[in-house]
Amino acid sequence: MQKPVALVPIPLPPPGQQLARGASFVTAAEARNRYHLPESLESSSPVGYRRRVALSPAEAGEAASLLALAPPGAFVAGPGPTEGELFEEAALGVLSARQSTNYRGHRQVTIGAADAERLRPALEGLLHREGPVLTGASHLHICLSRHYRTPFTFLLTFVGHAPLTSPFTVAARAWRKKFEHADDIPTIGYLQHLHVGIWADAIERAALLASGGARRAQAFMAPFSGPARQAENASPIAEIEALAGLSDADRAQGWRVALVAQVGRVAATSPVSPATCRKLGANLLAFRSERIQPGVNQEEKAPPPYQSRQEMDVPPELVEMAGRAGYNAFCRWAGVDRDTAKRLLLLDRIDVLTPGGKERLREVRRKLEDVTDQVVDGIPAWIDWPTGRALSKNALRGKKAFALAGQRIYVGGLSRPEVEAAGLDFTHAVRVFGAAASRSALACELAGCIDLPPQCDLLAGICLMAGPVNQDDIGKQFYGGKDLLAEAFPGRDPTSLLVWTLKAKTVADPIGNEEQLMNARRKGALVDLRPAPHEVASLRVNGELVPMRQRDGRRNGERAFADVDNFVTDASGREIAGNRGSAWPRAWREARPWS
Amino acid sequence: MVLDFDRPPRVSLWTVLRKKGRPVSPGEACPRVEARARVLDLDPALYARTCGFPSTDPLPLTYPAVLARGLQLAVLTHEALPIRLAGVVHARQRIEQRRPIRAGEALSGRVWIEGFRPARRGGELDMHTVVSAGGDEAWHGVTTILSRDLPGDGVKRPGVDDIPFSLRRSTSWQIPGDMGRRYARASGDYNPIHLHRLAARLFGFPRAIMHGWWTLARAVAEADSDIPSACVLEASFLSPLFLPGQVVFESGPLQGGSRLVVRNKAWKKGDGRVLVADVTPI
Repeated sequence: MQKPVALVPIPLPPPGQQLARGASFVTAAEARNRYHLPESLESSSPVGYRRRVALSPAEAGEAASLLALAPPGAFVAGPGPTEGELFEEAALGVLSARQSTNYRGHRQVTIGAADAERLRPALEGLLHREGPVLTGASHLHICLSRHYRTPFTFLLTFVGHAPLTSPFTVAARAWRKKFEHADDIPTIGYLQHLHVGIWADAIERAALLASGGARRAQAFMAPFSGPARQAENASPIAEIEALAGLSDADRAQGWRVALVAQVGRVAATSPVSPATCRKLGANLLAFRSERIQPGVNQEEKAPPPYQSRQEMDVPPELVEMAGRAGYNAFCRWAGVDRDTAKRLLLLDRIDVLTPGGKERLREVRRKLEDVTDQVVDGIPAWIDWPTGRALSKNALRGKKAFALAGQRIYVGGLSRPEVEAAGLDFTHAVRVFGAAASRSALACELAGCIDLPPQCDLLAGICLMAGPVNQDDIGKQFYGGKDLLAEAFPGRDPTSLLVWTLKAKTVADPIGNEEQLMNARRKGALVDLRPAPHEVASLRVNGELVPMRQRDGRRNGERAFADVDNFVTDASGREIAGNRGSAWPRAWREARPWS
Repeated sequence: MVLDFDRPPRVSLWTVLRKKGRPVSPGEACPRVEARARVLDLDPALYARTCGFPSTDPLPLTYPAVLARGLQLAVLTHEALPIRLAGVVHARQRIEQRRPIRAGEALSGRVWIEGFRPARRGGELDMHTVVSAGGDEAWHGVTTILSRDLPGDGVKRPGVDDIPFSLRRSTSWQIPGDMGRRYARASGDYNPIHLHRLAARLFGFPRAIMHGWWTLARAVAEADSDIPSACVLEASFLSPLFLPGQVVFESGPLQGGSRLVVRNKAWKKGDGRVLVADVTPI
């Protein structure tokens, strides 16, 4: 079902345009802004702030195999994972698969071989599995997820109310959100599932990379997709939940099993060598959303490297390969053939390079801005004014956040009637869409590292956004607007889900992407909102759940794949204090939790 | 003079605080005072947890100093020593560990002080601590204490160099306000300046100060496998670490060994270095 993917190199711009971010630490004479490097980083996350690592064409060839990875056919006997391997697997999975920095909706419980074997009959009882349950797993991840809730969804509570009745309707909606987990708009509900799909796809790569190619993952996502399938699989899911320690309180907060991944050693030779696994792991932690296209949507105060356009383009062959990677993921997770995948995945290209694209892009921007204006006008005064207009000011920031820039811009989505006619569950299809989008994005991000010269940060980046779709959905739900895909797919009842912007460029976005984090009282220290292992991952050892990397008063300070040494520095090599992290004690890291 | 014990004596906080000094003339020598114990009792679990050591076998590099603490206090509070203990500063620490000490080994110890040398603002005493394991002198620590009761020479000496080195580790520590009390329970060092800000104010400090020994132990624990089992560690305590505190720990290779640095993040003056320690393998 999956076709091989080739990563296509991106031609460099002319020598004078081969620039890097060149960020420096703030000096006494300057006012701090988000383009300066933070003085220090306080974080237990394994990610830190990283640079992309150049890949040779041969290494890129190995990396491409990750974009067409077939599930393992069988596991073979071998030693269980070390604590360090589990940590790095989590680093590429639960700890980084979630793209929104302030969404805390994932948790993972990992069980050892004995518990995994005990759980096997329950897994075999699951309906709609993507593949067979394998014997001999060295460990198994039970992945939990809950509804998408962030400060943005809090703001949404106040959107779309009539002026006179708003005190009552706001209260009623807040109640339904809190206790019934209702979503303000459908696309907010889909975000949970898009993230689960991204996570499932990441877990397959994580198992391979963290073990240097020795282990692979067999993940099951479909049996847990949505209430109907959860009801069908109620009994085995109850067993899984019991083993994961899911309490009634957790369930009341909306936590559910989202996917299960068996991990074990495989006999087959890895398509990626151990050395390339290290480089790719470090690169995956370096990839971040790239919103700025130099010379197009940069701020006036941005430093010189951002100010001029770069003569670069995303090669059409790479776009084709990115599409192929996306369809691979769709086929893998939905279990459909490629023709069906191509028919179900709705993609509309809206960039300036397509015929009439400029007008189309302008129209989309205007539409989103109109929605923003309507949102701002409609926020109830009784809550906005007493809070110093905090809500409407936040809503206005959307105009900046939803800026669409890049050589390739796509809006992607699904048609519910068509998905259901194809025999697929729509919630599962949304998850699969997330997996497809992230794998497609990864193709571009990896290609942007091929023969990356030292004077450049990257050669291609991507921003995968739900923001414009959510904004459009607000318009649909409350102000009578149409879906972003409605014009391109008339009569097919499309639901747009994500927007991709692909950028060929050499200057990476600044590290202080969220300016509000640059709290003056912290003297330039950046507080990392990404989760620490002990916050979201735990191991079941001797019948008890033990938080990952929280032991004897110590918490994780290690950055995963730190041996690749791709930490951000200024031009002189000065590091961000605390960014490099410190290795977890060797005695603990090399221990095997279930031996 | 030599004090002999079966086990290190318990010296009360009251004895420590009421210890009086006496004027010492520039040419006067301090007498040698030595204390010995035939048996040192081990209970490293709480210490290891408090300082972040992953295991207690072999013993943490800094733990023998805690084992010999009773002997150290017996020497420091001896009437022949002309200094008060309130107000002394732990300026430097040298540790030479010739071999790792295993948890089950029979340990004995001795501690001595002899003489002093003038410093800029007072005099410096070297307190030697030797811990023997199975009859071998496995661990030798030299604690340099600055006392203003001893005459100084006013001469400014060069500070610890701040040469750049490539980092292997760099991480932030958030040190909670009760860390001094927790380390006191683990080590037996109940000096009031470490326990609470009100107690610290009585001694002229704005806030409680973290024990220098904890800072050193935590740094050694963080450096983990970068510290060889047989090594010489030379540490300088450069500024106080107020509680609660935020510091950055950095370490990396330097001149055949490793350098460990703990830097105060919120320090307004100077480079904020709290501790610099160089470790070289033997």
